[in-house]
Order: sequence, then structure tokens, then C-alpha cells
Amino acid sequence: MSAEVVSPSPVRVEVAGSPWTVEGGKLQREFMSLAAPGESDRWHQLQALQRGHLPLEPLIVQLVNGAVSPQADLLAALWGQIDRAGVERLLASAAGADPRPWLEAARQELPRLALQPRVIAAWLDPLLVHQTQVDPSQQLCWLEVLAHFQDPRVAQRLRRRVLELSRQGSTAPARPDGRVAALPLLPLLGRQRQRQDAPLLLQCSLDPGPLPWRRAALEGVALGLSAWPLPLLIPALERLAEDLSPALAAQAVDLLARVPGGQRSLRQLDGRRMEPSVAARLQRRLLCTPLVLVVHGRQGGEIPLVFTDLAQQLAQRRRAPVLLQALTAEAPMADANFWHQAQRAGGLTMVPLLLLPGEHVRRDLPALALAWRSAAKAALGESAASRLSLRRHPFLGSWPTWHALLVEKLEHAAAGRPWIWLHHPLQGRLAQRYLQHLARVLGRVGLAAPEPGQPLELPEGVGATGLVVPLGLAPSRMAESLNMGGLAPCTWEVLPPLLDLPGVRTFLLDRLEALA
Amino acid sequence: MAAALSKIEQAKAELCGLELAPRLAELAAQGWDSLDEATLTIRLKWLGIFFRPVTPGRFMVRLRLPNGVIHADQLAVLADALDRCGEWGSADITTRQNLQLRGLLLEDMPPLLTAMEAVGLTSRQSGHDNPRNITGNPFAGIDPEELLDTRPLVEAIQQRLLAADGPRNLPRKFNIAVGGAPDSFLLHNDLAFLPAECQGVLGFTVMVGGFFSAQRNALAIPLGLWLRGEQLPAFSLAVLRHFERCGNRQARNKSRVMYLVDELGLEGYREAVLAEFATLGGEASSHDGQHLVTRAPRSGLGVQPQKQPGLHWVGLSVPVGRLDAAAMAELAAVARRHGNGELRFTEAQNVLIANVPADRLEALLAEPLLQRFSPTPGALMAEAVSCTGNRYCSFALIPTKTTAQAVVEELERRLELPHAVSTHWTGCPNACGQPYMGEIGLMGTKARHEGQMVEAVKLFLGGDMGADPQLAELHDKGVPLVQLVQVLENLLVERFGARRRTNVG
Repeated sequence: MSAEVVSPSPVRVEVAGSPWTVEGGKLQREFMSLAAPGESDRWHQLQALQRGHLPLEPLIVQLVNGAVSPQADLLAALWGQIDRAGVERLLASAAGADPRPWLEAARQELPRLALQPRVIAAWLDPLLVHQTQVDPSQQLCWLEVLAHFQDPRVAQRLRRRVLELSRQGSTAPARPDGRVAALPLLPLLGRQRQRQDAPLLLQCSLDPGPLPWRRAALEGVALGLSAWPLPLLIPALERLAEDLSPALAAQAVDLLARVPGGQRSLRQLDGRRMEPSVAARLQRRLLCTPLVLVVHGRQGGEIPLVFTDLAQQLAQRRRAPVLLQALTAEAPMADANFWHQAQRAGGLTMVPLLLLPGEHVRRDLPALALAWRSAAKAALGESAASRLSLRRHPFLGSWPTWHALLVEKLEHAAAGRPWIWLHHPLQGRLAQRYLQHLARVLGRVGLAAPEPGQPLELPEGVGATGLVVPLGLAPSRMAESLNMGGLAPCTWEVLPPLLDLPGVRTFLLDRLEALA
Repeated sequence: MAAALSKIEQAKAELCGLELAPRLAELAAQGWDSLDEATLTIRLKWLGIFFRPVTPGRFMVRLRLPNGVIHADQLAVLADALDRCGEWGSADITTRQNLQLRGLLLEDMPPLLTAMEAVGLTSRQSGHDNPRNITGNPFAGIDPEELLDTRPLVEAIQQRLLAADGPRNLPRKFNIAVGGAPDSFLLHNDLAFLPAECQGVLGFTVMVGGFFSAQRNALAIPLGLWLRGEQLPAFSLAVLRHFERCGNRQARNKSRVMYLVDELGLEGYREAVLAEFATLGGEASSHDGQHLVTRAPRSGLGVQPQKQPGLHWVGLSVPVGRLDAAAMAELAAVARRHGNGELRFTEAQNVLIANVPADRLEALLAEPLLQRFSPTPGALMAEAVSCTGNRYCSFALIPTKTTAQAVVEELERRLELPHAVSTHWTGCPNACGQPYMGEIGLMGTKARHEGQMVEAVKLFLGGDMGADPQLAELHDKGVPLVQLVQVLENLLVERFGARRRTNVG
């Protein structure tokens, strides 16, 4: 393709031109009559009508006297243009007899236009009157037209009708079920967002009945979701999540995932008997909080590789960010994704992977918690941060499951040899009580690690060979000096850092993955 | 006396939709019914959020995917958002290499927009009177035939236009595209940069004024200017600032930039834009408008060698561009498993998986997902483009996507075609499905059939995006849908060399 020169004659084809386009708001051509359905001009005329570019009165007259039939496309174009007097004339005429084109037109345009004060002023009161005056067989249809307006009077009529139908269904199940024809009323009732309708909509979703009716009710719940009182909403959704209908249960799970506190409900539902696709959906909706794993770290803030590997694997399993915070370094930077996940899951979780109740546990952890609260405020603002919970778990060394694991793993590693465990020297009564407790758990008293450069002196009578267990998850100066510095007796094996033991790593991954 | 502002212009002037961003969670909690009409139907579109009258309460989000590039991690986030909508959730690949998600509640928007931001996605200013998603060569950077890589240029234009001093209140929507290959047909854009040489240097000649609408359809014309790639962002900004200041705000049906060109004359328009460009420190060279786009766009479907040795892209046909959550999640997984996670969307509403090593091709082609999204679709399905249709759009007169898919499948069952034939389906005269660009264009209408008004299409024929571009012209003003397969079958046999299969039952 190439144009030889800059051409003033563009490649241009007028294929859908309309004589009804308007210059400066004035009609270029006088309106004579509306093109019949199917004629190519009609769409353009109705667009012009909808934009207020055609005179209304001739059309209203033609509609009232029957010269023009009230087709849905024409009525749709009128909603936003006509005034109350015109509406009353139309509804009182033969054009207002058959509700079907009105309903089609309402579904097309009213969701948008029924918010306009001018449209409300023109249509709402005349429709309220008209709906009561028509033949009872047509009232349902007109009610649906009316229901596009959000108004307490409309909500009341909808509520009454839904209630009647609901009662009929339960008291006279043998009669033809009027509920199927009235399905659209339920989402429309939800859109009214009247708090008092929560029990009705939820009951319609829960009660035995035609599945389409129950699903329409649940869609009504969805469309007004933020209006419903949580103490009513959450238990009902929990019940629906276990419904035998997968479609209902799936939507209930999705709705629970959207409401404040819904994650708690989803966790309670986890593991219950559910249709497999719903159970899979529930798993997809479960959210984990971002984790902050507090570790000791090494001099200069360096974090041992075993911790970074653990954090990466954990983040994959939890599908949530995991940060490592070394006590010897500045706090890690939490990015937008971290805070986003925290908001969605309702909080963040701090787990100290510390084994002993030293100064760090007693003093540093409370300070870190405060710092994370401040960081949340800085990142999200006061209001959003106030909705986040900071879940603090006790330090790892205090978990009874950890004690049981230590006993098992260390006995296994010792393989019948004598063994001793070493700990960093600790000060204070709390620490001493903890060490006594751990000595009871492990069946032997622990030894304080020797000062740097000093050889390890074994208690008398422990034997010529055995296992030294430095109590630490990751490589540390204590363990390295015992090993590499030759400070442990050469006939005694020094156990690698605990996280290098497969069972320990698996234990931590499983336990930390399971945290909310 | 100045003319009174229209309702839309008033709404835009009172409050820019971008200002709603910090209040979105609060608005969602209030409920969409409590929003005023201007906020609901106009301003939210500045955040890429669309109220859909056909599904009130279930919203749409339209993204911005510059050059149609998306990564598996990003697609997975979007799939998750749709999955939460259950059976309400679906997505469409658009004719602007973009994606729009449907079925979302307003409550879903704050977390979705945050999640999108976390993976580098935005939906900002993707609707209404804004510069829309900027398109480029869908094979950019991997295309053995490309003249230049459009991705960085498209990205730079987007960044410039969405910057704090970018346009926020245009008189009308504005489409921009950058061509990078000999098949970059872009003349349906308000502003198209086509690869062109000037004194032996490869850059871009500027084309302006292309658009389709219910009133008028025009292909872009040469503005007579040539730019270097790095000038495109500032030049685009200059064009938009001029349009923002001088475009027609009185009649929306005469406000696309071509009307401004008409009003000022091509010379006058060029001078005005150059003056605006000069305020940004820019200067353009004169140019005769010759460019290096010489043929109709490739489909890119199937296994295609990339310019990088040993790598391929695999183009998959997504029937009429419709996706669901499961398909999106699986597309992301397949792109990660066999490529480097990169995917592209095409203007023909299909998807490419990029950077697939040769030794992964066999495994990729054996993926179950490819039963649904074929790399070797039929000659009609490959190039069937469709607008949303009346399932989600209140303008549309027919269900375009489902009709298109059913009709195309039936025709492929009946016919053998010697080559691909493009069909472009649109639901109303607004022409979002670009019917004038298809070899066969179809536009929803109503027609009388056996005494009843029924759904029908107008047929257009002769659209050509090749060396001598032509817009399709009206062939039949009303074919009832019930007769459409037969009418198209005859047309394809008579005009497109199709042969009837003998074994059709």
C-alpha cells in the first residue's frame, strides 16, 4: 500500500450515512414518520430520538391513537425523553395495554436511566398507579418494569409478591408454580438493597424449591451484597456452600470470599463434604495472610540460605508473600503485592523462628510488631490499616509440636549414641525455666555453648563418642566453631543445622503453610 | 453565547473519573445503585470500569494491554478474578488486542485493581473519551518479517499519554496504533504510525482520521509528516492536546478527529498539530505518505518460527475471542509450561504463545487446551471477528458471538475453502466489530420474515486490508438469521471459490 503524495482526497466511503444526523442540535430534516421496523432508517431515527433530537409530540400522538405500534425499540428510546404528562397519556392509551414491549424496553434501557431524577419524576408515580390498575394477569409483568426503579414503595410491592409466591410454593406444591415466571423479581429485589429483605432473599435461596428460583434469589443476594447484615448473611452462605446443588454452593463460596470475615467461614468449611468442583473452588478462594518469619540472622544482617529457600517454597505453597526479617538487619521492604494480599486476607502473620526465649523474644518481638502496624498505616492509610489484624505466633521453641519433633529427630540422629545439646548462653529466670523445661522434654540437661575460641568440655562420663547438637535452625558461629574450629572432641559428631534435616524442614513447611 | 454543554461534557467537566480511584472501595460498599448516573455510566470508565445495562450489577473491566502483550502471571490474576464470578464470568479478546472481563460485582473492583497493579496491569482510561488501548504488530520483537519492534514505542506512547499531564477530557475516544511490519493494516485508527523511510532512515509516516461509526466510515489519510520512533510519544501527546482543545464537543456524532481535519482542512490541521508539537520541543519532517505496509495482516496462527533461532510462537484460534476463567488459567499454565510465559493478543481476537523452544512444540501441540483453541482452525474460524453482541451490549440487535460461531461452524461443515475468508460481525451500526474491514461484513438488524420481525443481518462485501485498501460496501440490507447459512454458503461458492463437501449429511 502506498500513497503517492499527500492526498486531500481521502479513501473514504459513506456506507451508513443517515439523514437524521443533527447539526448544532437542530434537525436537518423535518420528522414526518417513524420508519417501520426493519427499515434501515429506523435505527438512526431512534438514536436521534434517544438523544432528544426529534420532536416527541407527533410520536406520542401516533402512539396514543394507534398509528404507531408500541414496539420495544421505540419505547426504549422514549424512556429518557418523555415527561410525566406524556407518560400518563401513553399508559392510559391502548399503547399501555400490553406490558411485553414495555418490559423488553425496560430491560434494555432502565437499568441506566432509572437513576436519573428526571426519568424517576416522569415515570415512577404513573407506573405505580398503572401497575395496580391493570388486569391481575399483567401485574407481574408491570411489576418487573416498575422494579427497575429503586424506591421503598417498589421494594414493598416486590417483597410482598415474592413472599406470596414463596408461601404458595411451600403450602401448595401441587399447584402450578408461579415462581418460575417471577424469577426476574428476585435479582430486582436484591438491587433495591433494602436491609430488611435479607432474610427473605436468603430464605428463598435456602428453602427447598425450584432450583432456578433459589439461584435467582442468590443472585439477588449477590447484587445487593454490601447492604445485607453480616450476622444474617454469613451463616446463610455457609449453609448454602454445603448445598447439594453445585451451582448454588459455588456461588455461595464465591460470595463468602467477598464479604468481611468470610475467610474465617471458608476455613471452617474446608474439609467438609462437598461436591468436588465446589471443594476445588473453595480451595481457590482460601487466602493466606502474608507471613513475616523472624529469624536471628548473622552478623551484618546476612540471612542464611536455608531460610531464603524455606521462604520461597512457602510462598509458593501459600500463594502469598513470605518475608524474612533478620533481627540483625533493617526490616524488609513490603511491596504493593504484600499489602494487597494482606488486605484481601484481612491481616498479616508474624512467626518468630527463634528457638529460645532470649532478649530477642522478650524485647525485640513486641517492637517489631509495633513497627509492622506502623508500616501498615504508612502503606494503606489509617482506616485500611485498622481493618488488618497482626497475628503474632509464639516463638518456635515454645511449640509443643516442636518439642515432640526434636525428641524424635535427635534420638534418630543419635542412633543410640550418647548425645548432648548446646544452646546459646541465656540470662534471666524465664530463660532458665525454659531451659529446665526443655531438659525435661529432651531427657538431658543442655550445655551453654563455650565462649568463642574455647574448646567444648563434655560432662564427665558421657562416653568417648557421641553426637553434639547445636540448637539452631541455620548455620551459626557456634556450630561452625565446633565443627570447623575443631573445638568439639574429634570423636564426637556435630549435627548439622536443624533445618538441614529433612523432617524438620518438612515440619516447618507443613505447619507454616497451614497457618491462616 | 457559548453553547450549553451536553450531559456528557458536563459530567466530564465536573469531575474527572480518575478522581474516583481512592474512593472506589467506599463507592462499592455503598452499592452501585446509589451512584449517580454520570458516575455510574461515564466516570467509572476512566478507571476502566463499565456499567452494563444488559447485566445491571455485573460490571465489565477493560484493560490496557499495550501491543497486546500479556504475561502468564498477569493472565492468571485476571483468570482468578473471573473465577470468582462463577458462571457470570467471561472475557473477550477485543479488536484492539485487549481484554475485557465481564460479570464482576462492584465490590470486586478495589481488590482486582490492586491485584492488577501488583502484576503491572492497568485499566486506566480504557473507555469513553480517552486514548484507547494502543495497538502494534502482534508479533513485535519475534517476527522474522518485522521492520521494527513496536513494543517499546507503544509502551512509551502509553506512558506519555497516561502521565499526570496527559489528556483526561477528550471530546471523543481516540485510537492510536503503531505499525512495524509489512502487514500492519492500521488505517481504521484515528492516528496511525506506519513504517516509512525518509532520506534512507526508517521511521514512521503519520496517518490521521480513520474511524468507523454509525454515521461515517473513513480510512486514515496521510498527514504528510514523518517522525523518528522516539518522537512518537510527544507527537501523540501533541495531537491529543490539540484534539482536546479544538475537537467538536457539541455533537458527539461529529467529534472524531477526522471531523476536525475536515473543519481545518488537511493543511490547516497539519499546521495546528505541528505548532502544538513545537510547544513540546518537537519538529517533524515533511513526507509524501509512502509507507512500507504492503499486504493484508497475517493471522499468525499455527506454529511459526521466530526471528530468534530455535524459538517459535504458536498462534491459537479463540473462537470469536471469547474466553472463560478456566481457559485463561490454562492458557497461562500452557504458556509457562512450554514458553517463557509470554502471550500476545491479536486484532483478529486470537492468542499467541511466544518463545516456545523447538523441543517443546510437540508437547504444546498435545495440550488438551488446543482441542478448544486450535492452531489450525478452519478457513472461516481463523478470521471470524465479532463484537460483543446483545448478550452484553444494549445497542446490539443480534447475539453476534454465538451466531457467528454457530454459522461459521456450520459453513465449515458444509464447505471446503481454498483460503481463509475474513468475516467481521457487528451487532449494530456503531460497527465495533469492524464489518467494513471484512471480506464479508455482517451487521445486526431486524427484518421481516414470514410476517414477523426477526433478527437479521445486513451483508457487506469487498473489505480489503491489502495493498489497495477498500471498505466493504452494502450487498444485502436484511438477511434473516434463519436464512443466513444458506445465503453465505451460496456467496462463498460463487465469489470465494468454496466447494460443497459431498459427504455432508
